[in-house]
Amino acid sequence: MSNTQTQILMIGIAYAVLSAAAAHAADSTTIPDFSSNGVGWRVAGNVDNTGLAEVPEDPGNGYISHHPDWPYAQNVVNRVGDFTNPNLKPWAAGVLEERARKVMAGGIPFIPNSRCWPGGVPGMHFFPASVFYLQNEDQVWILNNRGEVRRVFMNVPHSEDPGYSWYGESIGHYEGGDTLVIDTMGQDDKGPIDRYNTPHTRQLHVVERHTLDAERMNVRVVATMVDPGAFKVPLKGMINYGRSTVRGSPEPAKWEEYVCNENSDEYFIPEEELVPVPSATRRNF
Amino acid sequence: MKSVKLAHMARPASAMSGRVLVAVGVLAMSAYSWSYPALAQNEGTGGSFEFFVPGEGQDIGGIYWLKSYSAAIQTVDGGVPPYTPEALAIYEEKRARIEASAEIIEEDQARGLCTPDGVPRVLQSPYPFEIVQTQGQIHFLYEINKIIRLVTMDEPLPDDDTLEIFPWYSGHSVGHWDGDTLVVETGGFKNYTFLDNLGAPHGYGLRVTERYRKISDGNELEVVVDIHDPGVFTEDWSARFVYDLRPDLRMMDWNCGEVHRDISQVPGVVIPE
Repeated sequence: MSNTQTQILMIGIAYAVLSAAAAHAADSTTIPDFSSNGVGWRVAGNVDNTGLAEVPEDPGNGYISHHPDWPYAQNVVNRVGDFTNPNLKPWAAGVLEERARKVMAGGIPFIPNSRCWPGGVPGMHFFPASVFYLQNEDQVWILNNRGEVRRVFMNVPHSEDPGYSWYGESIGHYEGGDTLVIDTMGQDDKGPIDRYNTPHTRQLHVVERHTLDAERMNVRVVATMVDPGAFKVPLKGMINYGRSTVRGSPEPAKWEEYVCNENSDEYFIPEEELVPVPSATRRNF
Repeated sequence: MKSVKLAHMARPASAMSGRVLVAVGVLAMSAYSWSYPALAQNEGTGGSFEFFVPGEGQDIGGIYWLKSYSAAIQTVDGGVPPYTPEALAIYEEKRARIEASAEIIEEDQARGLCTPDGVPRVLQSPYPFEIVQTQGQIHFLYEINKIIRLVTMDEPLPDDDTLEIFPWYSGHSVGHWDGDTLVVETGGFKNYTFLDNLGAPHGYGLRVTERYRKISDGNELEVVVDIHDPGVFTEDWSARFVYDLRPDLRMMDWNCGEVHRDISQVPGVVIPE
């Protein structure tokens, strides 16, 4: 290699190095601290009975809300999804109507995680359990103290064939110093996208933007749900988290073991209306 | 399924040239060192996140899988734990019913309802588990029953009254480092978990001390577990489990009663017919 070539190579390497340094410095200084040293987050404020809220500045096509003729009233009228929403494909509207009419007739609008089944994405956000983020360079774990665990693989593409599972495959990256963007696909069709149990297909593709506020006291999650098998347009909603505190105290809430399947008997709901909790009858080892 | 990429997503490392990778790596290290302010957590006043860096010889993060399975827990030399006669009678009765059928016995909530297995039973699970180290905490995330077990570092165990009033399936765990060995002390268990997969009993007085360390050039993780439960055993005793580090694995979702990953290749595992 000639001197000139060597100089060009050195300049090129130096340029690449400096560019990478600048880019990295910008990224690295802007990784938001969702983990909060083990303090939990809890769904807070401005969420209606569907589990989602409208994104004020950019509501998009919104989400499936309650049926206008059966407005939700706690302990009086249970959750009845709006099966007339024009964004639902006919089969999905039909399934939701069937579920809604059971509730209109006095049934209980169970979603899977109300009876200890996995929540999936975005369903994990709908249950008022403390949520914890663990962050390292390669991965983010999102746990809640109902025993749910999500894994987000950072700065990598989706697998060629992630298969299908309750939580699917999540990849993510940080943006703008305050936001964790998570892209999830490969979910099966069981997890809820709202508290009405609006159906979806395995084509569901969810992009969540988890944004930490400047005071690090709140996390806003904006979820966009694309499912050409069930929805005519992408749906969009928001979940807000505040710092989880010990009940009756301003003290931050830390991890406590909570086991959903424990005491899973229900004495006030007729057995025939109950969705069974997950269970097994035969050993597999 | 079609693979998609996020906007602004980093290219996979394999797609980058070696030279750029090295340069970025060098710069990543140097930029990392000067661009992070000190961690200021729990203050609600801003500050950026600093990834936790384990001390030298104390990096045990990763996914592990049991090297060899035994349904019955054994002492480190392969013997039978020193049960009291009463405890042994309870164990033998449950063990006989468990071994007689693939049907899950009613008392075995960990298999029937997928409640946490408790310690040390979960240590002999033939499904993988994951260790995540963060500032002041170590999480053990077990695939079986999606058990989440938190070890709080460098703090004392809650007092005996608290442990008795608020028992957990996995117990309350605190840890500290003794050189390259993670020492985890656990107490405050619910007494309806088993010590093993054949119904070995324990009482509220169970205390467990686990000592984890990397062995085999870092490719394996060993845990030696000291068991103290004077109501059930005539003396303290120890068990040992070894796991392979498996960076090639991804943890999988768990839902009770569904088909999970194939564990037939784990030595010692017998799949009931």
